[in-house]
Formats: sequence, C-alpha cells, structure tokens
Amino acid sequence: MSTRLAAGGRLLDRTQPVSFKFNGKRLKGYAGDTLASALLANGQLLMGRSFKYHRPRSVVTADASEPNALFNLGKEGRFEPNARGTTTELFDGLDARSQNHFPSLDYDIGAVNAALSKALPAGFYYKMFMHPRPLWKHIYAPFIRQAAGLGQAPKARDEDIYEHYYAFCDVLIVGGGVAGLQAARVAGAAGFDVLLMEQSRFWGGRAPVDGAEIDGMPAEAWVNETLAALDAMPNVKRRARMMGAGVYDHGYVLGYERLADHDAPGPGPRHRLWRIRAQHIITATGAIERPLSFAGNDKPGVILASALRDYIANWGVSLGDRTVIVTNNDDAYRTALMLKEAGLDVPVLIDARAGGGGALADEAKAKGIRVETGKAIAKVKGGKRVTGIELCAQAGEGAKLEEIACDVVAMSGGWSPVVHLWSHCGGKLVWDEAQAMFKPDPERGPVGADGATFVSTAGAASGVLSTADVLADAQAQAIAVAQGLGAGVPDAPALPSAPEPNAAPMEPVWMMPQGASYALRSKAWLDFQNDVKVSDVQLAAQEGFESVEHAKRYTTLGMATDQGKLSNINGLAILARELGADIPSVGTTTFRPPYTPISMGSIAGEARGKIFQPLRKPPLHGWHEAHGAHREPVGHWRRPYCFLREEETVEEAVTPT
Amino acid sequence: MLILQCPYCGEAKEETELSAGGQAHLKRYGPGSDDEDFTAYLFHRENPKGVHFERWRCAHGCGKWFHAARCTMTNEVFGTYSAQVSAPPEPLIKVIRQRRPGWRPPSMEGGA
Repeated sequence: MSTRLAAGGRLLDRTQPVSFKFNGKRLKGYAGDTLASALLANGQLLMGRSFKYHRPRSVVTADASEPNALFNLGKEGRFEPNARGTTTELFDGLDARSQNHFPSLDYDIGAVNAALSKALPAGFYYKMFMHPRPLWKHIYAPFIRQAAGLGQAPKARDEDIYEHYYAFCDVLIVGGGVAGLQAARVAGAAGFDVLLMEQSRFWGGRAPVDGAEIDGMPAEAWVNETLAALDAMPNVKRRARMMGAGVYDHGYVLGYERLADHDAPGPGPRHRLWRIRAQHIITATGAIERPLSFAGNDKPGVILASALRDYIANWGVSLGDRTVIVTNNDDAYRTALMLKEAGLDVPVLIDARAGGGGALADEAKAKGIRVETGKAIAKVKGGKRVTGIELCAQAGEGAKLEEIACDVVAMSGGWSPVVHLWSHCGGKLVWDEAQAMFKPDPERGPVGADGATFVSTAGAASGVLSTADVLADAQAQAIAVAQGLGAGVPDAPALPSAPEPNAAPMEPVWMMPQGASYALRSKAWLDFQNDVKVSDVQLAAQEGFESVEHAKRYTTLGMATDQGKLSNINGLAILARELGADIPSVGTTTFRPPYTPISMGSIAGEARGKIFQPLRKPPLHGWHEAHGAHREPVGHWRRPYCFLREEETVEEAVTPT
Repeated sequence: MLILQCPYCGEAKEETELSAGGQAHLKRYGPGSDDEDFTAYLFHRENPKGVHFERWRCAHGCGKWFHAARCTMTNEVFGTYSAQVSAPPEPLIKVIRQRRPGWRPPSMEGGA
C-alpha cells in the first residue's frame, strides 16, 4: 500500500486539507499535493491502463516526463484528456478519472491483449490489416478507430478563455533550478533585462530534494536567498508555472503559462501563451532519469529512483514498505539513504556495476543496507502491484539466484540532459561516452541572424550532474552570455561552493541482465506510453528499419504525449546494439516543439468565436439589410449578391427571365 | 520567425510583419522573347542550401519592397539592401564571402 508518511513533505501544507474526486470516489489530500501524490497518499497506486496491452500502470516519474499517470480532468466545457497526474496540482473539487479501460480501472476487458501480446508484435497493424483490401474500410479501420487513442476527445465547447502575450528581453532563462537561478543572478547583476521561467510552481529543481548543500547552507535556504536577491533586481522578472515550450528562429521563444489549472474555475484566462523575443536564451532545463530495461519494469510500484525521492521529500508519500533499488550509478544510493531515514525498509540495493559505487555506497553500507554489486533484476513479480523480484547476475542470462519480496522497485539507469530547447532550432548533440548521454555540442549551436549561437545551456542540461559542476557551468555560461551581449566582464556574484561526495563512474546498462532471454526481453518495457518493448525494437531492426526515425515510426517508440522523454535513449541504444553500430552513429530522432503538450486554446488565444475572423461590413450594410439583400462572402466582407423580391429564390433573382 | 531590417524605414521587422516575394534579381523576359527564356523566367527558381537572395516587402511598415541575403540552412542574415538594383551590392558580396569562404555569387541571368 502506498500511504502518507506521518511527517515530511516540504511542498505540503498539512493545515489545509483538500477534497477531490477520483473515478467518482471522494478522496482527501493537502494543499501543495499533485494529483499523483494525493492518489498515492490514498493508497491508489493503480492509475491507468496501458495503450496497447491494457496493462495496469502507475506513476514512474514525479514530473513532466510522466508517461503512465494520465487522467481525464473536469467535465463538459472544462473537460481535458491526458493530463499528467504528476504535474496537475490538486485543488478543492478537482474531478479526475482514469482512462483507457473498460468497464473499470480494476477490471479491464482490453487486458486480454496482454495475453495475446505474442501475436501483437511491432508493426502488427501493418502486417495484419493489409489483406483482403475491402475489409480495411469496413472492418479493420472502424475497429482500430474504436480501440485507438489515449483518453477521450472533448465534446463540448471550451468554456475557458486564453490569451497571447508579447514580451521582449535580453536574456531569457528557461528552468528555475539552481543553475537557472545562478545564471539569472549573474545576468541580472550585469544589468540585462532577464526573464526567468520555471514549469512547476516551486523553485530550486532537484537540489532541495537531493539534499545538496550550497555555500554552507541547505539548498532550500540558498534558493530562497537567491530568489530574494533576484526579486530585489528591477531588471529581473520570474514566472513560475510557465514552460519554455519551443525555441524558434532568431531568438523567438514560446512560453506556456498555466494561470488557472491549479485552482477551481474562476475569472480570467486559463493559459497564456507568451511570444517572446530574446537576445539570448539560456536553457537550464536539467536532466531526466532513465529507466532500466528489465522484465516487468512497467508494473505498478516500479518507479524512477529520483521520483521516489520526490514523493518522499516533497509530498511525504511512500509507495510501499519494502523498496528494492536497482541502479547503474551512484545517484540511486541517495534514494536508499532517504528511505532509511524515513524509517522504510530497503531489503537490497542492486548495483549492476561489478565495482559498485563511491562514497554514497559506503554510507549506505554503513547504514546496514545490503548492497549487491554486479547483480541485476531478472524479473519483477506481481500483477496489479509489485510483490517481489528475482535477483540474477547482470553478466548472465537471467538465472534466478534468489527471490526477494518487496512492494516497490526504484530504478536508475543514468541521466539524460533535457536538450529539447537546444535542439529545436538546430543545436547539435555530442555523445558523452563516460556518462552515456547525448549532451549539447557548444561548437554547433543554433545560430541567429548574426551567425552567432543564440542558445546556451547551463547546469545539468549541459551534461554536468554534480551540484558544484552545475553551479560552475551556470556561472560560466551566464558570464559568457553577458560578455557576448557587450557587458564587458560583468561584476558577477561569487560562485557558490557545494561539496559533493566522490562518485564512482556510472556504467551504461541497456539491457538487464545483459544476455536476457526472449521471454524476458518481451516483458522489458522501453516506452511505457506506447507499450514498446526491447523485443519490438529488436524486431524492427531485424526487419530492416535501421534508421532511428524509421524504427520510431514502425514501433511507435517515443511517440504520443510524452514524446519518449524516458524511452528514446534506451530505445536507440537497443537499436544500435542490434545493428552492431555505436550509439552516436545511430543518432537521435528529431526534437520538435512543444516540450510537453500545450492546449489548443492557448494557440488560438483570443482569436475564437466572433473575433476569429471579424466580419467586415460595407457602409451600406444597414441599407442592404433593410432591403432584403442576400449576401455572399467576399473574403472578410459580406456583399449583397442580389435583392430578393417577395416569394423569390436566389436562383430566380439572378436568372434573366 | 525571422527578423529582417527594412533598408528604407530602418525598422527591424518580424516575419509576420513582412511578406515574402521569392527569389530576387530575376531578369524579366516578356513578349517577344523565346519560349525557353520565358519559361525559365516564369517557373525556374533556385532552391539553394546556403546563401540565397530574396525579395521581401515591408508589408506592415513602410510598404516598400527590398532585398535580403540569407542562409537557408541556418537563417543567418547577411544583409538587406535596396530593391532598385539588379545584383547584390559589392560590400554585401564581400561580407558573404568572408562568412562563407568558397561561396560564389550565382549568375544573375534569368531564373535557374
């Protein structure tokens, strides 16, 4: 059972209970909760069904990269499908329903597809529904249309209002983590007009959760101090709940501000689309943790190690009592330590690296946590929630060494920088072998009107992960940007110091165990949202879909609302291995805006209904009207086509008699 | 979303405030010319990957037509200049050569 812990939850206000509805059932949460954290606090781990096989699913992340926890929100004129529970803030009266199941979340008929999964491999539709041709129109297409799609399309007219807003600034900073804050401080001190935006409602990113220490104080205190310093600068503006949706030519940026999604419907616009022109853009968008590919990694209770920390630290929620942690890097040890501190059990920490971890690993061992190095998860047991795992050797084929009971599995496969905004306008990537990640290549950035790079990355988005490196990178990038804009050597605030435990290098693990049998591979999920497994990508490669773009379209890896934020790198690593090529030569698919889906209403802005295309009237409009004019559309104008006498049709009026 | 500076009114205008007019420096072949020249003038256009000369109109500004030299690959703008010329001015050619070594100005004869 997932539950609320007695203490903790730095974003919660436990004095303010909030009541909301899930599938018609009334539940309680607190102000500061997200829909996902509140559901977990109520013991509701099961949150949806998967797209193709209708497998039970729960959250894997705690942020915008969430593929599973999608909900229908509201009703009628305020209905919205596919809202991520992890980014939906809880408010009194929120009405959420799970989607993609019939008749109910617990008992879903579509789950029969899972039993048929052997008959439904990648490209099934292309192979199966070719012949005979007439069947396509009358049977296949209507059937697929019925079954396809996430959520439901809204039927009623949208009751909310939306607006566009135009803004100009010297330096636009996307991301309000410690890197973004430090960059804003430097650029602000240099006297530039700075706009800083953060997609969530809170500032500081991961640093406060991960227990970073900056300038001798806890990260949260440093964040608050920096925010106060920024607010004291009249040339720096900051907006929370505003996402950098896309970067376009010549410093044009779309910002998507969610003004009213966190509260019951009221007056004022719901979303505001910012159309910004910036001299220079700094993306401090952080990094996303990658899942590991082992059999059963999609079961409810399997979650990213960093997300599990988020739920404990931010919302005081635990997913279960016994958590097995599986990792290929040092970062996941933080999750083990945090769980211990919260009084929860960690039966084993499985480190796929034969050499094990660094300083954090020593700390974990000192706390009495059993650490198994060079091991892997052969498979996860359980149906609608994890009940245990089978331990095996990472180097082997998955022979069971031991069975360990647990109700949560926290996984960490390393980190991928969020390079979307860097890439939207042509920024190129370079493969970092040591950290197994694609990171921005500063030599080949997107160029502006003057031929110079107009986007810089700062912090984890540049591919540096320790707090000290993140701050140093943000400082250096911001100084370089200020100089590029003609500030001379800016009077930059001192670089904050941040101690960091010595970490052992991560080791890429693309398949777990590395020689997994077909049975295991066909249960190892890459893309949770589209139900793409390791075996599907391998099949695509076998069938000749060698280009990563072709493999994506054949398997649907990295499509739909999450656009492969978790799955892309894992998927192309499997593809590269299958093709016998190295990862950089396979390359990534193209990153296209927006970063996460934005509402159609915000794109339309005010241009809807009567003012979508205002009707233009000639001066004699009233006279025409009074004399029975039949009007014809001429562009934006309505001009009289003919004047009708009594009992006359238009055709008769214009036909000579 | 490009920004181009109108050489007449001096304003930097956004793409939505301008209207594009296609390839610049076409030599007109009118009545009396042979079919091949006329076809080329009417239909054949360059589609280069790299430096390109284009016509733009300052539609929501002074209303005048002007020329712009732009890289179609990176959207780098080398310069804008008067529409009252039949070939790009020499200083602009110099700028482009400096930024794109090895680039040769296309012959300004007709279409392709």
